[in-house]
Amino acid sequence: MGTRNREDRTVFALTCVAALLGIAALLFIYRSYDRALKEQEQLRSWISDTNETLSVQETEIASLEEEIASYSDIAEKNRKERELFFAKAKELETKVMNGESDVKICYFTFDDGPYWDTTHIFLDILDEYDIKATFFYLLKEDHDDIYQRVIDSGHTLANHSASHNLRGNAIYASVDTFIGEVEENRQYIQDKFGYTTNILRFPGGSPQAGSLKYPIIDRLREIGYGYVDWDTTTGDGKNSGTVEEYIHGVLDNSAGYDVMVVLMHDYSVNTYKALPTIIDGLKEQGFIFLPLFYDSAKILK
Amino acid sequence: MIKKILLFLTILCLGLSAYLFTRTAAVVKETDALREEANALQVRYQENGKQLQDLQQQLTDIETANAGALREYRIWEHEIEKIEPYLR
Repeated sequence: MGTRNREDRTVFALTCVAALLGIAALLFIYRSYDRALKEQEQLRSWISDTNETLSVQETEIASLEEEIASYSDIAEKNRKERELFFAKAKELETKVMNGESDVKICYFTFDDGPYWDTTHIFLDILDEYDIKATFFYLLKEDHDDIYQRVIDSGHTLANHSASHNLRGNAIYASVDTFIGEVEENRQYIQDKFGYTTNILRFPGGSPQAGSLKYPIIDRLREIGYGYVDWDTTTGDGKNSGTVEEYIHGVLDNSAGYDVMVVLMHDYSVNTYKALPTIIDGLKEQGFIFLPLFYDSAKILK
Repeated sequence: MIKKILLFLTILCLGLSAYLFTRTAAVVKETDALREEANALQVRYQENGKQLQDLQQQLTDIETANAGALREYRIWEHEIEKIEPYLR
């Protein structure tokens, strides 16, 4: 009887130990399971966040690559945008000339530059008014900054011969002499600034060429040039007028024009003093301001 | 009676432990796969970061080199914007 009781107690004790070990094992495994689950959850959350970040990064990469690629043909894009602008300018000019528009067009032109002391002031005024004009330049070495600023600002740079030598009308001594000057200046601007000019103003105006005018125009056409004179001027050619005279020179003579070319000179101090009033006055008369372009009706060929 | 309950409890605990053990093994296996995925993402993140830095530098260099052309392009864009209202 005593032996049986002892066996029962031993079995009972072993059962208790087994139950305790079972509970301990369950708790231990549960803790490991819980820890593994939490780690998995953290990883999933990190992966989800990282995927979002990667998506943002990759969109940014694609956009940067696109932007970089757009620079590969920036020169071509510039050329197309410039052509588009002048095509629109031509369209507007045609509308204005056909009386289909309320606005009028003014082409400001400045002759004989560049000038170290005054041209920058004209350019500053034009910048301030957000106006593009046309500069008929001679061949002047050591004025690179001014040529470059005219080109970079979107103004039209045009040819006014290399020397403007009207003493004894030397520049019009022969067609070859004159065309030689035009070619020399064109080549200088082309080589130095990579800019192609195709518009000319005769020094002194086309009548100054006398009997050579039409033979010269034929040669100009052959070398891809058109020319333009002017409709009105400040009268600053001799650089001796007052500011008031220059203002009236333009504003009193602009009424009859829907498309008008104004001649000025960027050496004249009184012209740059008159320019803001001239601009305001022409605006009041309904003019907008454009740079000249080869296909303009004002460019004769 | 208590002995039977304890025995049942032991068997229940061992059964649950065995079940949880297999689940834990499965979760650990999944977690290992996720960790590999996370490592790959980390590498991709670092590579992208480097690529972004390179591209930004490249863009800055190109912008500097083409500053004039870019300014010119914007001028024509602006001039077109100015003229368009008169064409309508």
